[in-house]
Amino acid sequence: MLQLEHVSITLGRREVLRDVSLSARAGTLTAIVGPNGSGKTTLLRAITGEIAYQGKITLNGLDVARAKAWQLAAVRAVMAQETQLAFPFTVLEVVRLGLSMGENAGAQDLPQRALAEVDLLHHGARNYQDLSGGERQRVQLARALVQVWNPVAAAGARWLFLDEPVASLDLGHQVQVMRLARRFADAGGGVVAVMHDLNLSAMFCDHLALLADGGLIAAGPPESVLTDALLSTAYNCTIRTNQLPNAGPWLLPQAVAC
Amino acid sequence: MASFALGRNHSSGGTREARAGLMLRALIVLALLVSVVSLGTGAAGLGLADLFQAGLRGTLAPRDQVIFWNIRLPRLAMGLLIGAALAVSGALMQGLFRNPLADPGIVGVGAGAGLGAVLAIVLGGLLPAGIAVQFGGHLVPVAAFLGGWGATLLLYRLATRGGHTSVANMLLAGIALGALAGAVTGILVYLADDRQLRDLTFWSMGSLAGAGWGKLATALPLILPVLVFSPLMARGLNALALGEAQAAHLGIEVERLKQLIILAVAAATGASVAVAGGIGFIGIVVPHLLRISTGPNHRYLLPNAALLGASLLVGADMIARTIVAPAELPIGIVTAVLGAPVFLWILMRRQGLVGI
Repeated sequence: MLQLEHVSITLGRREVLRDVSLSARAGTLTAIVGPNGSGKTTLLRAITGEIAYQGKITLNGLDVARAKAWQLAAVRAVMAQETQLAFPFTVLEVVRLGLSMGENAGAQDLPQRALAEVDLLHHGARNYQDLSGGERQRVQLARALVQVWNPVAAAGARWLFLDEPVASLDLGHQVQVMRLARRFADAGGGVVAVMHDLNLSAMFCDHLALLADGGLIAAGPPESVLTDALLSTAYNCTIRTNQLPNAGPWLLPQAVAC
Repeated sequence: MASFALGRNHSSGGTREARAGLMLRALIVLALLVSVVSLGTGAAGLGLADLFQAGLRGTLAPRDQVIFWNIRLPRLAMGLLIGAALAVSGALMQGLFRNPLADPGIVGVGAGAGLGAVLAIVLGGLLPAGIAVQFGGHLVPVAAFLGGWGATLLLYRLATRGGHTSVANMLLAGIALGALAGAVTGILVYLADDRQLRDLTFWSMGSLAGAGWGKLATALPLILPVLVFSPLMARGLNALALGEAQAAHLGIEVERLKQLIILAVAAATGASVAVAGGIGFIGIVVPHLLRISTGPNHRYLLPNAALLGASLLVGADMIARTIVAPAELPIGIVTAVLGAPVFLWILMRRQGLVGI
């Protein structure tokens, strides 16, 4: 269980997030959505323990602000928006960084299996610095997967926190990565992802949290969040939601009114 | 997630580790070879064959015994120790700064130590006689070590706010501190007399000439723990290559790791500069060569750097003390002549240097 109570974040002198309360259960896939600068990534960085905040965030009952790095690392893995490497590590070496000192340490085949999951099985010997942006993202996802390979561990559910996991991927790999996240959640783990693509979010996620201007303006299942009124307010643009047969809401911005 | 059982391919990536392991063995052999050759090389004309035969018969002349036990052996030990310390310090700093061109010389340890030494050389005569006698010949090394240590602590204070060390601030502060130390050093050089100037020149270029068991005893307690324990930081250093935030996400206590690295570098570099003066480029060249040949994994990089650094410095010292024999070239000149082109080559190869 991930729980945020009255979380506010000030970066420099600017209040980036105001009084956000939110919860996500293990076994679900939650997307944080909203326009640029609405505080999505900042919120995720607070949840991962990267930046200071007011209020309270707990993950499986663990107080994120007070937990040790290794305690959090045993419970959740994080994939950042972009990761540059200082030295020419190979793809496999990067993915191996996810092998913790604990339960996964002996499982030397995990990195290869994780690479297979992101469609990079035969790229293990390549230099990470030579990869394209989308390939790097998939390598980082594989590294995160290795860290929390079993969605449910003895101590409780594990979590994946993903910052725009599909931002630089092609259509095929977008769906592949979202399916991967979906399967992780279906197997009992929790996934929280910052997403730009509302349609992919609607297709794959159980819950959406809509941020606008530093505040949470709606949270719930896609049908309740992706409404014309809420989206038009959040994105400051007239948006019309459609229904596709056998699928969730589907939306297109009305360009004329933007 | 049973469905996650797809490929099981171990072939790729393992080759680099195998190469690194092979490199470790090759470097041990190299260090042994260089050591043996070094023991048989010197201005006294006491060769390896002489040593070997006399050693077998137990008939080493008293003069040669002194040369072997009190000159060549401590000098070899010092060369191995300092070379390893410089190379490991370089690898640690580069890992911390996530930049292959970072070096203890850049972040002010070298400049601080240099200032300490110059202060001792130029103003040491002003000390009350009692204190000066206490220090004896150790005044310059002790001052250099204290200067390096002080510079590192000051730098760390400057770059750390609220428990967070900014690498960018540390680099910039290091440059400023280096310039300041250089200016003060300049004033002192201006004040120095002829004899002091000779000392300064010699010291600033680095040398193992004064090596003896006493100096070794000064440096060993500071350097040996760093060499032995730095491989324990390998996993953290590897994770740090992803950036501090992501290293923390992997479970690394990043702030503590950074403090340990800074402490280790201050100890190893400070002690090296204190007993051997300013010897450049080992800290940059050695880790870089190893990263090219066997990859950046710190598990192998740190021990391999210690071995290669030790061999290179002993080799450079052999050149330094034979090329103009019976006189001696400062070893810093040898390492600079060999190392500077390599440094430039690294610079040219890396068009887009990693930002900090």
